[in-house]
Amino acid sequence: MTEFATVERAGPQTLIQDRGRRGQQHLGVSVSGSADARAAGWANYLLQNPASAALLEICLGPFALRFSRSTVFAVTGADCGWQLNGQPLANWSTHTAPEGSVLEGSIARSGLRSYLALAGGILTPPVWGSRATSVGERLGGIDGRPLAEGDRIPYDAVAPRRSTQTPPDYVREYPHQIRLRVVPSNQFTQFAGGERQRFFAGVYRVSPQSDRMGVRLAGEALREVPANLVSEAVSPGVIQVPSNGQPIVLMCDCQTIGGYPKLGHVYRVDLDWLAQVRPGDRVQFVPGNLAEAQAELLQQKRFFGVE
Amino acid sequence: MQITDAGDESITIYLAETPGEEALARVTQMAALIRAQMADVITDLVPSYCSVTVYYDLLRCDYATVKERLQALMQESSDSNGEKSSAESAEGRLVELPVYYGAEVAPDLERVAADAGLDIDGAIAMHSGAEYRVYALGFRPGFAFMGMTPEPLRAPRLENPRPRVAAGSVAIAGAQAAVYPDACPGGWNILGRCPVKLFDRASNPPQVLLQVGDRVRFAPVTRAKFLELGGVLDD
Repeated sequence: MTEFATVERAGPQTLIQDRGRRGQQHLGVSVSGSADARAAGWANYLLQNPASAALLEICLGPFALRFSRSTVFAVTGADCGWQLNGQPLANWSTHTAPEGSVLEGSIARSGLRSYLALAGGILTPPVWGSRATSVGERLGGIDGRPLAEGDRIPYDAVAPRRSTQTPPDYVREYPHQIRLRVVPSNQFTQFAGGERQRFFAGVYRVSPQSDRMGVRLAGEALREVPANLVSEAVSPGVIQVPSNGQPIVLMCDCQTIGGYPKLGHVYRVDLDWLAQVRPGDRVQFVPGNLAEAQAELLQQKRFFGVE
Repeated sequence: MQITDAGDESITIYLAETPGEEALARVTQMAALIRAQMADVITDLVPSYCSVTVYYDLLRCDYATVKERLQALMQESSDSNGEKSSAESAEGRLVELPVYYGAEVAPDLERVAADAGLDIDGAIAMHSGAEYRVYALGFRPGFAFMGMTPEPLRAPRLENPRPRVAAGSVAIAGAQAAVYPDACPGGWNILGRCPVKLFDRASNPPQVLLQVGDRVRFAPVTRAKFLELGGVLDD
């Protein structure tokens, strides 16, 4: 049965997300989906929701949601000090909201994105099979936009479930400095040897211009950047280097083709860390390989389930 | 031809060095072959100017197998190349797009015409006299990169992109041509406005008009016809 929860505080950017919109990239439609797929995966997993269930991605907070009927939910990702009717709640856990209760999160203490899943999953209308919100494309979610105060979020109210939490070893805190593993691209050797060393030796700061399309980095610029390419497909994780020599790591809302030269791509599983950095945080890159990137991604996909 | 990984779950095949009719023929042929024979493993297939990128799901197929199957298709495609590919792609669907070239919706037409040494009617005749090809879709849903704009009209991108370009704006940048499917920021020169929706988000699923390989002609229409066809002036 469909129930509704009401947004009382929307925060700077709260989005309905799921695993993303596939099969339409040839039309120029980006994949979107949860930026931190691992934290989102845990929220659904704890509730025994399908892995494809839609949930809320809350960027920074503050955020508040009122439940008109008793509902089981899960919170994961950045810890924004969740409270239910004023009582503190554990992150990375399921909880039960009594009828008429208000769930509130404040500004996250560390990390950037919190995930809130409702048992049964959010039921806004899918677009090309996905409920993911793409703000730039105005697709998915509620009218393709971030949530606003007063929005009513439809969800599938299901029977109460046993409360559970992510095992402590799998709970993440999000640090201010991260290392990302990189699979070098076929264009990697077009960058001079010295520039490649500079890239892996550098410590980059996350620029405030970062968003779900790409994380822009600022550090010692690469000096000799190869010329632009004939545009070809790009996807989340790709590291583009425009002529200013400052790398951009593409994120889940990135465009589908691009012509900047590429150093390589960040492991998909490491993008879950990158999704949680804030402006001013530090990023370093280390060389990796495709086999390792795929093995870890496959393990994550198998764990969270096919459906 | 070259094949390489492009992401944890993607592989790119390069089929030509430079964009053009021959590259397009190989790209559309390869894309059709992959679509027909690898539907069981691909999740997305993105053709571009000189390459095709295949997205797959590691839960369904491993990298080595996808790569092997693609290599077999590349072999098949190159074996048959000489005979039919260029003939086949020379076809392509013809799409005629009406364009209203009135000054109220064409902020750059006068300048582009002057730079080409033409009067406005001459520039319209040249722009609408050419046939364009869709080489790639990207930038935004339904945004088709077309070419080639006739040499004299080729104007570089604006130094300061506009914060908002109206939906339907018919634009050029260098040798490229496009129609903005949606209102968005943009740096191309705007020559007119098209009343036809290139991206219709109101239908479910949304509809996208143009596909890679399509042939496009722009047909000048009057202001009255533009409005009759559903065009919007004050966007």
